[in-house]
Amino acid sequence: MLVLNGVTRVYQVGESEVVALHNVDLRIDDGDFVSVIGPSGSGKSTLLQIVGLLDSPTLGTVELDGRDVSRLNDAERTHLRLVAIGFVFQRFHLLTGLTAIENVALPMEAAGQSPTERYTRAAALLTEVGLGDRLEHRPSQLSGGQRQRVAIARALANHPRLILADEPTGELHSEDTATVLELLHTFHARGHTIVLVTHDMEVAAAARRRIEMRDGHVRELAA
Amino acid sequence: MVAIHAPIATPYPVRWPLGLPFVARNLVLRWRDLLGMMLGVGIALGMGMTLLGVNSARQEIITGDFKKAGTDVYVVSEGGTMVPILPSDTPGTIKHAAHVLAQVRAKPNVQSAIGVMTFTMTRDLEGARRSDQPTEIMSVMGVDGDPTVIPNQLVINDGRWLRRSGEIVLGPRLAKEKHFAVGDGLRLNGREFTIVGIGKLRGLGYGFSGDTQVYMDYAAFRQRADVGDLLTFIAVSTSSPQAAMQQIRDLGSVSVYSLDDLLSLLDKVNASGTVIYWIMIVLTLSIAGLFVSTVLNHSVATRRLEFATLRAIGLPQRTILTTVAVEATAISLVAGVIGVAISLFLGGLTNTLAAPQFGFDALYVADAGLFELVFALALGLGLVAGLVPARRATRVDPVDVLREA
Repeated sequence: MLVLNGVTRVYQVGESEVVALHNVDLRIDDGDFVSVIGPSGSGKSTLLQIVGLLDSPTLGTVELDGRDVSRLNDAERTHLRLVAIGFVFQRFHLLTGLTAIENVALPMEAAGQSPTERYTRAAALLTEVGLGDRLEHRPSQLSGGQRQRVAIARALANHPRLILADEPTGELHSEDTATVLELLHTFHARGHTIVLVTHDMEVAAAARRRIEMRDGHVRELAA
Repeated sequence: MVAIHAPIATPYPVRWPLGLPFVARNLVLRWRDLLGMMLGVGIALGMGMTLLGVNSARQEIITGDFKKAGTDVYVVSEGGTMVPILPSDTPGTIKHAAHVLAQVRAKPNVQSAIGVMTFTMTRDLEGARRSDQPTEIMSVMGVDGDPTVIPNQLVINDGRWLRRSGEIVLGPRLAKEKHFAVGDGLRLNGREFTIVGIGKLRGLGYGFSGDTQVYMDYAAFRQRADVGDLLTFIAVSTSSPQAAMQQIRDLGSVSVYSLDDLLSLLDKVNASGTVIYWIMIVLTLSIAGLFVSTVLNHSVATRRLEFATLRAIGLPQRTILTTVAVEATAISLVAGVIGVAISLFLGGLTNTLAAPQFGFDALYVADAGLFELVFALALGLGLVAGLVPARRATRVDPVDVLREA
């Protein structure tokens, strides 16, 4: 369970301060599928970065399973990102020099798995997302949709309970969008908690819960 | 739509280099990007190592004969020096040389002693000399005593050493340059001499001057050169140098040098040259280090997204630090190997092509100890050069970079 209590995030831009999140209270239960919608600059990405422990709140706390993780040091937050959170980015952010299977196996290597364990699981995950015949392809040899599927497989590498997807369909055609949403649904059905940031209402509708962000404030939308 | 399959558990065959840790696999992936740096630094190191090899050869040329010769103690006139450091330094001349030499030979710890005196003589050419023809002057060394009894003192390339007063031996370089051979005649200061050998006395002249001498029996030398009872220095072979030195010093009016004294003086003479070589090495290494640091900094700047992604998906800072530091270390290590190869190649060329032209066996000596030292310096420098870019890589903020991307 993830709980945000009065989270405020203020950025210093030159002489002035920009409030990206304003006293946000939010609770995401295990097994939730939440979409966060809102216009550009509304604070969606900042919320995702704080939930994903990439950033720390200026005020307030973030609790993961009852533990305040908002004041952890960098190494502790990095370790939590490795084992408890999976990221899916709009632009995939795969390592271009590595093959699909190497990209997926990399977080498992950092978590200390043996080569056989990690490559066997990476192959299984890639097969699961429909890329069993593309294991040794580099990102440049894959389509956008295929790259995003590799990124989803990478996000699942260390069995994270929470998957954070930041505009995962933003660069994809409609067919690939449907595939990605189908995958997210599948992994949600297997017990993963999913937080999906999007500005596309159709994509947002795929989630069980919808949260709207506007000027740093959150509002729960009716299901 | 894609078919979503259940996970399979078939073990994946882990081929090389997949089993390597990421930091090592990164090197395998990026070797083409690093190759230019490896070659650049390797060439710089190779030049530096070659300079050191040339310096080693220079020292060997200057001191080698002294080290190889069986002479343990050198005697010169009081106040004279065997190794000129200041322009006014000379060995001087030992007066009453026959008496002094006899006294030295009589000392209980002296096994043998030879006296030498150097002077110039004029070569007499056959037939009438043209008015515009220059006089040919030769440096002649009169030798009193038998150098064949001192181990390794005499090097004979062809023929034999002197037995009679009408015979001479020519230094190898002189014989080569003047096209003389054993059996030829050479007229010096009005007397005809027969060349009976091509060779030299080791350690009886500073540097390689022994290669360009005419060696002559001392009695004949005194007669032709018209010099008095003088010697430039006396070379002594002894089993106990310290005792012999004290006994000879007690004679008065002479200065005595052990081989160690001599080598120490020669090192002083070489010191400035060696320092200049090392300054060049340090400058070369510094430039190489700056080059590595600059290129790696640029590389880190262009790979910010990669490092930000690694940070975002949970790879620890130390992995990123190590990734860049290992690149810098690998550059230095491979550059070191390339440097040794280039140095050995250039040194081999120098010794094969250039050294014979100047009459030397070698103008380059590969020194394993120096190579190891330069190697270690390069490695240290690589680590230092990689430190700044590596730290910069760890400071990449995934939030900023991923937002920009």
